[in-house]
Amino acid sequence: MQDATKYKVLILLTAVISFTGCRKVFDLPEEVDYLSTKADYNTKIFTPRLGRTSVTVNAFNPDASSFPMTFTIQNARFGDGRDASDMMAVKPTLIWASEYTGQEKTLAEIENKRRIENRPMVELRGSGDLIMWYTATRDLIKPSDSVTYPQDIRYFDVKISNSGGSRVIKNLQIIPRIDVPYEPSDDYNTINGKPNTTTPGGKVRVFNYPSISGIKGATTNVAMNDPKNPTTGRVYLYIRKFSNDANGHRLRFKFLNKDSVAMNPLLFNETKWLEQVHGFNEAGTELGYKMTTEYVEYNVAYPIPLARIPTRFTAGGATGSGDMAHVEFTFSRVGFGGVREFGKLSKDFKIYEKGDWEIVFHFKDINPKFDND
Amino acid sequence: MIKINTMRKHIILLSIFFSCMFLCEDLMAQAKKITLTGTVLDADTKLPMVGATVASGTPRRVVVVDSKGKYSIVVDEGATVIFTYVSYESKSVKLSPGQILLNVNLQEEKNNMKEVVVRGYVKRTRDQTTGSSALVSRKEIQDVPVGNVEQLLQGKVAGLNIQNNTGAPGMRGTVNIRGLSTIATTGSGDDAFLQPTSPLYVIDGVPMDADKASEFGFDQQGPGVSPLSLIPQEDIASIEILKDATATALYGSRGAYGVILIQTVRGQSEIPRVIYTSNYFVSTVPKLRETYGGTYERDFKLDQILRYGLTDDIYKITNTPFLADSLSAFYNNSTDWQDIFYSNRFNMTHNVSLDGGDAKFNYKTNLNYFSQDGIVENTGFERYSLNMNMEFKPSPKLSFFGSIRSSIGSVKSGSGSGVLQRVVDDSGQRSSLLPGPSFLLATSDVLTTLQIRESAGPKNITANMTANYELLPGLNIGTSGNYDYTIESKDTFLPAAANSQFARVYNYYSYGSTLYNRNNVSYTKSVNNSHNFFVNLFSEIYIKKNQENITQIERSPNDQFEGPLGYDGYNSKGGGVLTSFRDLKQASLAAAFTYDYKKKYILDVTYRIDGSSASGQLDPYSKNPSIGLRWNFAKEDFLKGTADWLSYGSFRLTAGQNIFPQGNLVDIYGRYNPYGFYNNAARVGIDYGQIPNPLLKAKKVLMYNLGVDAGFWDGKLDVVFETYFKKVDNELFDNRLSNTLGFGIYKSNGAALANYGYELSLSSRPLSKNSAFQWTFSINGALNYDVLTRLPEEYNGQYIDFVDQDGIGQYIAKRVGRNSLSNYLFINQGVYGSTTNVPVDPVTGLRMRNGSSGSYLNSYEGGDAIIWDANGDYVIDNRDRQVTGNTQPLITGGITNTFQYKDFSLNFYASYTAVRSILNNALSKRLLLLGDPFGTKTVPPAGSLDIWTGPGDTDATYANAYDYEHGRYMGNFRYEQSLWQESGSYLKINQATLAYTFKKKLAKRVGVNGIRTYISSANLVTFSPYSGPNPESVTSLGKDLSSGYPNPRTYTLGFNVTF
Repeated sequence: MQDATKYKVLILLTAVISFTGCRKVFDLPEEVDYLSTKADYNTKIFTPRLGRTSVTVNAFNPDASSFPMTFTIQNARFGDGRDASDMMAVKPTLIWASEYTGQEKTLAEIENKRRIENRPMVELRGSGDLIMWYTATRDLIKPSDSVTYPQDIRYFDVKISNSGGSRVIKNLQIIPRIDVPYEPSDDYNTINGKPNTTTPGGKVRVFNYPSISGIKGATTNVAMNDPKNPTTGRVYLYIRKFSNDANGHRLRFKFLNKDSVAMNPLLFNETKWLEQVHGFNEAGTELGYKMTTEYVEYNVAYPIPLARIPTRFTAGGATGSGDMAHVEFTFSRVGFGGVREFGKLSKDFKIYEKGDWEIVFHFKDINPKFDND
Repeated sequence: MIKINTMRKHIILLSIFFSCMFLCEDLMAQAKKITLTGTVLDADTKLPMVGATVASGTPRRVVVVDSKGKYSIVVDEGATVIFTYVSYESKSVKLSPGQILLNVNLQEEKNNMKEVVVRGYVKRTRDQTTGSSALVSRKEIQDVPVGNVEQLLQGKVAGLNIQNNTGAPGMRGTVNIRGLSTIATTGSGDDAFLQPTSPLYVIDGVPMDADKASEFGFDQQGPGVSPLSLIPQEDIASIEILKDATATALYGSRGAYGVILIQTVRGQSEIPRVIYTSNYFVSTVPKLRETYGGTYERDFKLDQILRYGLTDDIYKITNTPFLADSLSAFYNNSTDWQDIFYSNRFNMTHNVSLDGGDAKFNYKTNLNYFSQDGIVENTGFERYSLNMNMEFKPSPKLSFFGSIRSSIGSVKSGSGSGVLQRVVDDSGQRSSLLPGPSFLLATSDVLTTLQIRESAGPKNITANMTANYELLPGLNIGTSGNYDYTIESKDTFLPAAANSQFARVYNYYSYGSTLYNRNNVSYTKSVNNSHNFFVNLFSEIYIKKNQENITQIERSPNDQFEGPLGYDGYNSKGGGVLTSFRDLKQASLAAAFTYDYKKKYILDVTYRIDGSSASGQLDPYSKNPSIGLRWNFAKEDFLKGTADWLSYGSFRLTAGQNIFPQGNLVDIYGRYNPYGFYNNAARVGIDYGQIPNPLLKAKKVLMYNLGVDAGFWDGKLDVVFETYFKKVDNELFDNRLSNTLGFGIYKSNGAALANYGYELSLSSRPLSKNSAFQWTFSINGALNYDVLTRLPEEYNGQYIDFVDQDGIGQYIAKRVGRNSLSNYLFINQGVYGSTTNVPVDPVTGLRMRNGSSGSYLNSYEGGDAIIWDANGDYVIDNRDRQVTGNTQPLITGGITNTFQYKDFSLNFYASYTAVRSILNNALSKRLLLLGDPFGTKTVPPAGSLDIWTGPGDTDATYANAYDYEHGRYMGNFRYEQSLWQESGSYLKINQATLAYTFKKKLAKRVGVNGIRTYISSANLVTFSPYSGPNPESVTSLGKDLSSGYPNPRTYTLGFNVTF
């Protein structure tokens, strides 16, 4: 009887075991990640600007493929077959560790939110989006010309893979464009990096202009509402470096009169100097600026603005988009009939490159009227 | 010499004669005849065992017990008398000398193997069947009045997964045997539902399509009452559930989803008897959504605005009178809106059953009235039915069975569609500050619910006739034919005040018919009593027709004008024949062969060829074989010694294939539309939406089953263990075609899935059979895994229907290798404790954002939901969704507990479902209500929920629901996230019944034969970790809609009187 029991138990066990392995027995497929055959790049030609960090957004359409997924750049080459993997050279790069808020009290506080990491100049992030870091400059990567020849285009393939398999998406292109270190860049030729002219190779230069309002000409007593109008008085805006220090961290504002002589910034007597740029005193220990008779200078962190985050220093303030930095220099005077009139000089701008920069407002033809009537 | 010889012969003969005489005399002296009388009662119910046989002596003398349980038989003194009754344990009693009175109680047979079952329209005992099946007795489905008897099967059979997900009277939940049989989903958003794959019901041999009402989803047209709801539970004698392919093989071309056989009561009393059953029951409203009322609501909203609002919002308060003007009588209310729509109901049912007759001729008539008002205002179900059957055996060779079932159902679904009550749900969410409904003040949706007039319901008549003739011993020919005709209608009239000042008239009419015929020839032969053969050849024909029409007039001229209707074309919306049109024909030819050796080894082989007009016209036939083996090992000689503890034991192994026709005319032939005239020639062209597939095949279900049955200690413990593998092939799939091809979709057979699982049923009667106290306990459970095994090639292993299922973004993902129906959701990982915890994109310096709008306002901050950024781009968008969860339960089962002491019995039935993910959309909706303080919706208190309390609260479950100005950029309570994906496990006490059977004497005193009375409660309590109202009230795709119809708890007082 015991034998029989054993026999029965044995049969039962075999049955249970054999059926427990159903997945194996019946050859059921294993679950793998999904890799769509239609997953592809929406954009296959990337034209990033050198010298600034660019990220394409939604460049890759996964067609519901499962993330996380790995993206690898393969076979980087020029159109004529030369190796183009130099663009993947690793550079020490400043990356964000925590969020910039515009509320930082010292320069060090800002710097603590960034840290140096080694990153290739061109890389793909987890979403397949292409990143070209600001470390890719025109010294390292040759920018494209106005005419792009295949031998200047950097081709590459992207291998996408997850547990569902892998595929190679071929012949993506990078056509880097020359760096434009600041904006607005109307005075900058975005093809060759030289001063901009109205026609290619022409002699007539194009300028940047600030926004002005409420300012009257000292000699004309006419409102200078249009900075491009020579009869009411043109106002040029220059964004330029005043030193060659690559690690510069200063930003100056200068106001030139029609004789190109610096005016005292204090003439803009209503200006809230602490709210123009997120700048600090020379030591960087507190919010502040250095005021001279020729300029006002801030100790800043570049780029400006640091991130696309609305702060009180950006255009539109805290409810704006945070895209551009914003400065406005105002003064008031007693106008005709004892009315207090306000004059304002303002500009939205960006500076991408680190250095000692100055932003110059040049009253080209007619000086502004600061005196009371 | 010759004379002497003859003499001698004579003497010998004479001596033989005399010796015989003496012997006989001896016998005669012993065999004193007596007339034995007595009563035969059921040991449990103490009801008379009408029709039981009492036998004694050789040649056997047999009498039948009469309607009062009495018998009278002439037997020899001191003889042995045997009492038998189908599915009861027979009892043999040796009379003591002089005994002339013998009262006997018969015990119901609890040994599963002796039950007689009908397999392929042929009776066999269960130990002779190879297939997998389970029997539910009449007793288990009596004491709770329900509109649909299916509800009561929940948890009674391992592998039969029933989810009673609606409390709407007369409607049905979902039923699946052994896991999923389809992956086809229809409807969009919240309404997405899984195409029902109910088993085929066969009622007294008449096949019935229980899905008919539900195949077009929740918002179906028409009354939506399942045909099953038209069968009164009092008329059911037994229900058998067939699970594997060998068991279902003989039920033909529609048995792929399993078969449920319902046997109605037959006449079994020589003296006509009347049984009257009546139930009085109260349906009570379950716990509804809590809300703040009156000034609490106003204070809460104002506080929320002052705390989280922007400057502008504070100004806005003054422009929102119902917040600002608390003294206005119009806004100074505390209306309980839910109370207007939900209330407890009192209902009753009456059933009269008359039966009579003997084995040669018997008849039964059952008259039933069932009425149940729904707990939602203006909803309910009523049923009137008259069912009759009769059996006639004019000679032992010839037999007839005939039945007629006729029923009228009447259903009211208020403003909803039966299963869903959207308007009620919306209205119930109204702010308590608003004044309650009155004709002039109420808004139209409230009036819709309260004022709609509706007349709807199915009317069904089914006739069935079966004849059988034994040509030669063992050779039978039989024929059976039945016709089922159902018309359904729904007329609703919505008065102008409830419908933007214009009355609306809606009319629905449909008819459906099924003609079914089966002819068979069978032959049985037994050789040497050890080799038994059975061959059965039969043919089957189905003709099914169905047509549904609607007419709708959106704006009728006035409230008084309800018809005849004619109006301009603009306002006559809808109408014509709906896409459910069907004219289906099926023909099958089948053969079955059974062989057994000494009832020890049994072999079943079946083969059938099925042709269906629902399959592509180029290949309408499918061939379906099945094979089954059974080994009753307990009968083996080497186990002889175990008889004292092993009552029976067997192995069963089956494999077989079955089909289910699934196409419709459009799928096979395409749709052709009239395109007007050109040059006086009518143009009819194909509809480019779908390209016809002339090769469309029926769904094919292949199943392997391995079962072990064992009984120990003579009924003390019965065990059934089964494991199976079920492969569903040729699943219909809409392949979306490339836009260069002209046609939109192509219906292919490209998908397939598989189920495998284990089922275990244990039942035990631990106490001695003779004890006054009886306890029966049984538990069953089924573990089912489903795996999607194939999708059309071009989808490369995953399909997410973004097009059809849009709405709330809860897409269903179908991924090969995984459970077939998963969710495609954002993964919620908790709540950001504070803003500094939000990750910052190292490249751009921006905080994690919601959506790629690029606006800073979309940045996450403390108190927002942490959603997994799967692709690492610091933007939460659709690409971060993951395939997750399983919308179908993994484990289902039930527990039965019966106690009996003398005339009292106490039953508990429970069922459970475990390992299932359900989406708590009700909670999502509830939290979203907190995000709109200016809206005129109610405020549900959320204090008990684990909501983020402030910076530093890192382990909250739910994001800050109150910060509405910021919250609207974040979608913290979006439906499509794993936060709502909760465990849908539950243990439900389905039913508790206390019954008392009056003493015979007492019953007699009031002039009846027997009275049984009982109190019971259904849907008593549900235990679940689920945070929503009821884990069972979810759609077949596991979504908990707050607009579902809540399941009421019912309390019943019932009587059962036998005259």
